[in-house]
Amino acid sequence: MSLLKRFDALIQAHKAVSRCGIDPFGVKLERVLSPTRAIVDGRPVILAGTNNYLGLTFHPDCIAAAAEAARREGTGTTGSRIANGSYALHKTLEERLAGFFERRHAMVFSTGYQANLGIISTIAGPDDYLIIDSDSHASIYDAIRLSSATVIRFKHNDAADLDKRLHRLSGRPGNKVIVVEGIYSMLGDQAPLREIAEIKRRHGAYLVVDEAHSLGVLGEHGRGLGEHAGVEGDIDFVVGTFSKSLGAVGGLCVSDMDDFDVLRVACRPYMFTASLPPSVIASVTTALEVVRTDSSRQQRLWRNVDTLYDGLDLSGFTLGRQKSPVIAVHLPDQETAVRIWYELLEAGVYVNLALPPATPTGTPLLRCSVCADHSRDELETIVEVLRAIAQSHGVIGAPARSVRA
Amino acid sequence: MLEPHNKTGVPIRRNTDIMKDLDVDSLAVMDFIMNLEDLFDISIPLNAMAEIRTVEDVAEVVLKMKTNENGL
Ligand SMILES: Cc1ncc(COP(=O)(O)O)c(C=O)c1O
Repeated sequence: MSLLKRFDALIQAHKAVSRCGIDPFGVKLERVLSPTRAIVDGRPVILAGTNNYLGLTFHPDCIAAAAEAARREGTGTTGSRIANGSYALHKTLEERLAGFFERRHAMVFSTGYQANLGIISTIAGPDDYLIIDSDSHASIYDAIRLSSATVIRFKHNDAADLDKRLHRLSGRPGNKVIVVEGIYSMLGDQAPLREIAEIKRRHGAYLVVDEAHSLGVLGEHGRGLGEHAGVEGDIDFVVGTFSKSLGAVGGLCVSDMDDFDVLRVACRPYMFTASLPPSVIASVTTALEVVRTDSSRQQRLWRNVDTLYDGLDLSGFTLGRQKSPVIAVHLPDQETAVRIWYELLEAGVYVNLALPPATPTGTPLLRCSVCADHSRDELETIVEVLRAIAQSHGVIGAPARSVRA
Repeated sequence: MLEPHNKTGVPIRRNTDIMKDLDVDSLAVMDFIMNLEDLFDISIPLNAMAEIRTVEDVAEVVLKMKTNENGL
């Protein structure tokens, strides 16, 4: 049997998706023009599937800082911080992150995926328990494979189910570590963090929150759901990424835990991969400063969320229940979803196509992400184009309003 | 509990391979396991899932969790 034979089912599934002539997993952005515009196949498109929530990828200060750092310190670090040493830039960013989150310690990873992989797999040992939300991101699922702990899942965003499972573990030696996300990446819903924090306290457990999609998006100072829910003191480790609202690449973990720095020599996904290049560190340091000093982007983002969510809602679409910069449009079946997604792209609107089993609902989703830099015109165009295409496929009725009446 | 997930319609027996014989995807298996957890008031660690292939394997894991002191 050939080595890749066992992927036959996956190959068939991919073929089925690509049947209408385009591969949704192979979109080529010929040229990105701004946080909200690009050229795809020679056509201008509006970008609404990039997680670029604050639009910082083209911030002139971030670009200038990145260019200057590359010129001054070169294009790459060519090794890990354990082997090759840390640049002053890495240290500065960690100090700034600790300051931003008002924590004693901060650690920078090469991606958010690696931050989850490293932190979650390292903090829980063979006698400990990891209790994770069933809709966790792939990086959390991969972390538990790398970990030696016993792993238990609780029902998505169900605090009572979490409580029940911790209750069953009570009396057992070993630490219990709860892992949740601030905003879930597919449906845009938030963890019920106040309840979870209360449960964590009552059971003497630890709490890790992945603020990947909520950093810069929630909380008065942009520190995420922990700040928004007023329970930062109950969060033992905050994990996050630089690849979304901060417009670059990289991961972070902040904490007040004693002996935190031992993780630098215990956490393999930190130790055995090259550290981020000077340009990235410089742009992230600047982006963090923009988030810290300018809350107008967060305000614009949420205004845009209202515009897009309400527009789609009024058109009769079934959406994720909680308003967020991730707006998930539910579609009935794969074939319709692929067609609508493709026609949208042809009409100049780029969103993400999410297909089962990668969706929590078991149905296909068009995943739109909102940017602070989307103009009202762009958002209205997205609603109009999506409404017209979905109507032509019979996904929503026409005219829109009578459906809801 | 398994029947709604059964896509091939073959009769379900002790030695039925849940994913192969019934064409149940990994996500649906997880749902099925969560329903079992509710029914028996247990948590089945993900670590134990690797051993589960057939209906009989499921029964054994449930029994182990319910009776054994390792039960969660
Ligand atoms: C919830 C969540 N955590 C972690 C990550 C990983 O982030 P990164 O892209 O920095 O690896 C992502 C993004 O893909 C995510 O959605």
